[in-house]
Amino acid sequence: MQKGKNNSRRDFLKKLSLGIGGSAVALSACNSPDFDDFLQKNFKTLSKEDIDEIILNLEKKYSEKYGKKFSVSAEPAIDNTLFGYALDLSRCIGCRRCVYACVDENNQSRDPQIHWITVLQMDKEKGIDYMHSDIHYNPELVPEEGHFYVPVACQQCANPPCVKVCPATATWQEPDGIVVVDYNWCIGCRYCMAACPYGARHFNWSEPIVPDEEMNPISHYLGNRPRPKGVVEKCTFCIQRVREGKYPSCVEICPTGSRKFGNMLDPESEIRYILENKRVLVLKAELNTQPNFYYFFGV
Amino acid sequence: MAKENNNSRSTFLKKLTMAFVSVFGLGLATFSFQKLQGFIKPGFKSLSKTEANTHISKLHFSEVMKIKPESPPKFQQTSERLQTNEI
Repeated sequence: MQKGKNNSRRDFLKKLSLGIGGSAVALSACNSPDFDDFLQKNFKTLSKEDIDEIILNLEKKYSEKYGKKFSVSAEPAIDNTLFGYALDLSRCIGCRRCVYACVDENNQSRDPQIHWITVLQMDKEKGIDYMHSDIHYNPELVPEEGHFYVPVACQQCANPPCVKVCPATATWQEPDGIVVVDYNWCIGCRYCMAACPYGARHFNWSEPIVPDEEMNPISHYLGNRPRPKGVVEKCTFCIQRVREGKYPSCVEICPTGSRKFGNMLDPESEIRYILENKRVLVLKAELNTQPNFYYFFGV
Repeated sequence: MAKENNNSRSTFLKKLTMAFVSVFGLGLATFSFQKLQGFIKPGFKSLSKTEANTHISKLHFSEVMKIKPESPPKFQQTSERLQTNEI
């Protein structure tokens, strides 16, 4: 008798109307911009019109949020360009100017801190030894006696393990060699962090905190635009700058000129000169990641 | 009779050997190709870690190069993947 009551026509109609009502509420929420973000296709598959619309929406959203005019570029790779980076270990003094120039330029979270560049202090006696390296050195003056410094960021590998393991195809290598992340497609699984042997990828465990007045409003969709909580980010060689013909901010700030950057396909470039005339070292070469980031000794 | 011959122990061993040779051959070919890519791509003169360490031991920084460093990171440790010598 009780069972029959539960299955009555009245109950059925009640549940049906509740269901329709619930669906209507859910569908009305689908019109929100957040839902559009959620349904957005992978950046690689977007048409020019789609990209233009997304960029416009993002610029509007960020400008309102940060109270300043925000530009989001989707500048594609320049033809016949393969970016390369060389770092002179005989000149690097471990001052960390590059670390903070990178933080400022690329809108990295101040709290909790995210640094795309890590400077390792190593003992001259031990040579290149990651295990005994120190990232927290803090003497009055650098360089310290008996030490040398190895700054490490994304090596923009030609054979990137991070790209291979991404289950969402949210990260890929651009034609100019830069490995990028589509923050809208990153599901935060952190497989790429586990795969990267250089510790170059960083996860946003919480909403990144960047003071509005310190936010750099000149951004690139695949680079330094504000990131949400729960996505992985990494160095992009300052994609928003290099695709406009500028140097990455770490290259510009380096007080000793130990950082060199350019198009490896250009025979007249500085980077090409270094690669042709100096012997270069790549980190963890035995992994065959084929980095586009080289270390050398200028003197 | 012909069927029996096909299923003989020698035929089985022959096929097994061929399978092993194919699989390992393919593996070796892939490995060599990948190794080769590393050399073909840059065409640059590489420096081994041992040679780099020799350079490092001779490094000398002038006193005038000394400056105050920026503050160290507040996070406790960097990625374990970076600070390991293991592959």
